[in-house]
Amino acid sequence: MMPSKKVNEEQLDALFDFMRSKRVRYYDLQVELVDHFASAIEELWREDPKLSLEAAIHKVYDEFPVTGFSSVIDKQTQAIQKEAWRWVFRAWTTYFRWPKILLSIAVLLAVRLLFYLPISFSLSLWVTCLIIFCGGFWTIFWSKRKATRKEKRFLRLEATYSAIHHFVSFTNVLFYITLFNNLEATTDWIAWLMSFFFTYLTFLLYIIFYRLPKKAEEDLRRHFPAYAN
Amino acid sequence: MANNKLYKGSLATIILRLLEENDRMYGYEICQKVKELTAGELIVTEGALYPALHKLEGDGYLSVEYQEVDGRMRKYYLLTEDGVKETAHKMQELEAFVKQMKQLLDLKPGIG
Repeated sequence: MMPSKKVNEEQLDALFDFMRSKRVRYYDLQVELVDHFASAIEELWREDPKLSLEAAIHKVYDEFPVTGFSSVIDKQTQAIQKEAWRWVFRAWTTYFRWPKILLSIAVLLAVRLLFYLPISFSLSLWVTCLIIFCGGFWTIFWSKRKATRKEKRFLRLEATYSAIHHFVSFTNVLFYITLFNNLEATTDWIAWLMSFFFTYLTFLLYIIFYRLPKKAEEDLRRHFPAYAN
Repeated sequence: MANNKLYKGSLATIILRLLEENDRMYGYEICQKVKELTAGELIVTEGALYPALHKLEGDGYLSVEYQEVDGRMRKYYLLTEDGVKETAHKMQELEAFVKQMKQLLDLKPGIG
C-alpha cells in the first residue's frame, strides 16, 4: 500500500499565502486554519492523490461560509477580549479578599488623608483622567509597536490592546463629569466614598495597563515561544 | 442526510461532550469525529465549528495548547474545570429536552 501523500513545507507556505490573501492577517489564527486545510487536503489526497494543491485548497475553502473567514476572526477576537475581561475582573476582586484587602485598606486610608489637603475633587478627577489617558496612551502605542513579532501579527496581542483601548474610550465619561459637574467632597461619607472609588480605580488601572499586557505576553510565550519578547 | 438545523443549537454540547471523552482534540478532528459517529448523517461545517470553539474558549470552558505535528503547528482544545461542569450541565439540559420532546411527540390526542 502506498504511503498517503502529506502536505510538505513548500505547500504549507502556499497555505499561509492563501490565508493572507483571504485577509487572515494574524499568525495565531493562520496556524489553526492552515492545519485545518492541510488535514482536509491530506484526506482529499487519500481519495484522489492526483488532485492539485490549488484545486484541493478551493474545495476545502468552499466548506466555509460565503463570508469566508470573517466570522472566525470576529469570534476569536471576541473570545480573547471576553477572556481578558474575565481575567481582569478576577484579578481586581482579589483586592477585596485576604491578604490583598490589607493593601486595599492601607491605600484607602492614604487616599482618605489626601482629602484633608486643599485640593478640589474636580482637580483630583481631572488628574485621574490624565493618568488614564497617559497610561492608556503608553499601553496602546508602546505595546502596539511590540505587537508585530518577526513580521508576524498576533490576534492575542492586538485584541488585548484593543480591549484596553475600549476601556480608555469608556473612561472619557470621567472627563465629562469633571467638565459639567462641580463635585466636591462636602461631607465625610462622600469623602470616604470617593476614597473607595479612587483606591479601587487605581488597582483596576494597574491591572489593565500593566498586568494585562504582561499576561498577553506570557500567553504568547507559552504558545509561540519563538515570538515572545 | 439529517436536518442539520436540528443540531445547530446543540453544537456546543456536542463539542464539550467529545472533549470530555477525548481529553484534547483539534478542529478538523472534531469535524471528522462527528461525521464518523453519525455515519456521515451530521456534518459540522467549519464556518460553524470554529466560531463555536472560540466562543467556548472565551467563555472559559476550553483551554488551548499548541503542538508541532507533521511539520506544522496544531491547536488542541481541552476542557477546563468550568468546562467539565458545563458539560454535565449541558448534558442534563439536553437529556431533559429529549425526554420532553419524546413525551410531546408520542402524545396522541384523545378522541371524544
